[in-house]
Amino acid sequence: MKLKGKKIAVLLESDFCEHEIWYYKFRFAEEGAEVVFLTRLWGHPSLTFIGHDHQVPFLCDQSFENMEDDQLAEYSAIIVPSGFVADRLRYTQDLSKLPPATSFIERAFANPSILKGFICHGLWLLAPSPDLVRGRKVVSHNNLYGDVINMGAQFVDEDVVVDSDLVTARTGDHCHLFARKIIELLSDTKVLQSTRIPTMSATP
Amino acid sequence: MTENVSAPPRSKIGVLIENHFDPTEYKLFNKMFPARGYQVDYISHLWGNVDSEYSSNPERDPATNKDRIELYVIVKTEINDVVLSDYKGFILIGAYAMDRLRYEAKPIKGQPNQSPAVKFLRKAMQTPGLKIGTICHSLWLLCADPQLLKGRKVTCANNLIYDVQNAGGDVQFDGDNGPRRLVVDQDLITAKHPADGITEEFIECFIREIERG
Repeated sequence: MKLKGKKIAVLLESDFCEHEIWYYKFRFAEEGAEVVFLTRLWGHPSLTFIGHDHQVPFLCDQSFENMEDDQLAEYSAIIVPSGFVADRLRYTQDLSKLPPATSFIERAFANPSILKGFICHGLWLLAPSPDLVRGRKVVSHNNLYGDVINMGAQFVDEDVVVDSDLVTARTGDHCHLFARKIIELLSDTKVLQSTRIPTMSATP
Repeated sequence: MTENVSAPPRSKIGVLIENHFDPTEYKLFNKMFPARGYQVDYISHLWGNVDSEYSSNPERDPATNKDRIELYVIVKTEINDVVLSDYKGFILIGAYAMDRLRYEAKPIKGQPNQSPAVKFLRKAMQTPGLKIGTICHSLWLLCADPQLLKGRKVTCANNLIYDVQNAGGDVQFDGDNGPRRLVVDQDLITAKHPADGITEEFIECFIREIERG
C-alpha cells in the first residue's frame, strides 16, 4: 500500500481508452489511493461518457470547476489520459477565457507538490497555455510530435519521461509503465523532491 | 486506381481520409460534388495493403440514444501513388482522421514530418492553383509541419485554435462568434466545423475557387 491516504484525479471525457481508465481505477486503488474522475459537468449532476475503442459508458459526477485551493491541494497527482479526452476538454465557447480544464491544470502546475501526468494525446490540454511546458522534457504519442514541438516543449524519445513535477508517457498502451512511474514518484517523496524545479508560475 | 480510369481528366476531387472521419461531411461530399460534375476519390496511406477499411466517428443515434458507427469506407488509392495533376483539389476530412494520417514511426528533431500524408501536402501546397480544403479538426495535418501554416489565414473548430496558433497559423475570428465560418487564403480554403450548414457552404466555396482557377 504505497499510496495510502493519497488522492489521484483522472480527467475524463468521451473517447477515453477503456482499458487504460479501468487500469488506473484499480491499480492506484490497489496501492491504497483514492481515485477520483473529474470532468466539466456543464451544469448536469452527472454525465456518462463513451469509450473510444468499445463505446463503453463511464459515469462521471465530479467536476474540476470551482474547486477551492485547499481541495486542489488534497490531490497528489492529476492525470490527463489518452484518446481524445484532452481535445474534448479544451473545447470552450467563450474564447475570451482559457478552457476550464486548462485553467484547472494551470492551477495544478502552480503547485509543484502536485504531480502532473499526461499520456498519449493528453498534452493537447496544454496547447492553450503552452508556457506551462515550454522547454520542459516530455513525450507524447508520435502523432502529437508537431503539436508538442510547436508548444515549445522538448520531445524525448522514451516511453516514460519525468521532468520534476511533470510525468509523460507515449501511448495508452504504456499506461502500466506510466502508472508504475507515478506510484514510484508518489511513494518516495525524495524522488519527486530531488528532481523538482523550485517553483512554477501558472501565469506568464 | 482502376476504378477511376473512365473519369474525365481534371474533374476529380481527392479526399484524404482515415479512421474516425466525420460522417456528415462524407455524405455531403458524395452528394454535392457529383451533382456538380466532380468525382470524389478517397485517398489514404494503406501501409502496403491493396485496400483499407475506415470507419466514421461514432455518433449518437437518436432512435436508440446510443453511440454507433454509421459508415464504413473502403479506400483503394494510396497517397504515395497520387498524381497531383489528376485532381482539381484535395480536401482533408474532419473529426480525428487527420491526427492519424500524420503518424511517423520515428520523429526526428529538426526534420519536417515524414508521414506520407504530410509529404504529400508539402508537394500539393507548392503547386499553384491546386486547391486544398480543410474543415473542423483537419488542420492537424498542417500543424505537423508548421511551415505549411505559418502566416496563413485560416479557420477551424474551437478545439483546434491553439494547435493552429502554436503552429503559426493566423486564425480569423468573427467577433464573439469564434472562428469564422469560412476563410479563403489563396489556394487554401478552410471551414470551421460541420454544423449550421457550413459543410454545404464549404463545398460551394471549394467548387467556386476551383472554377475561378
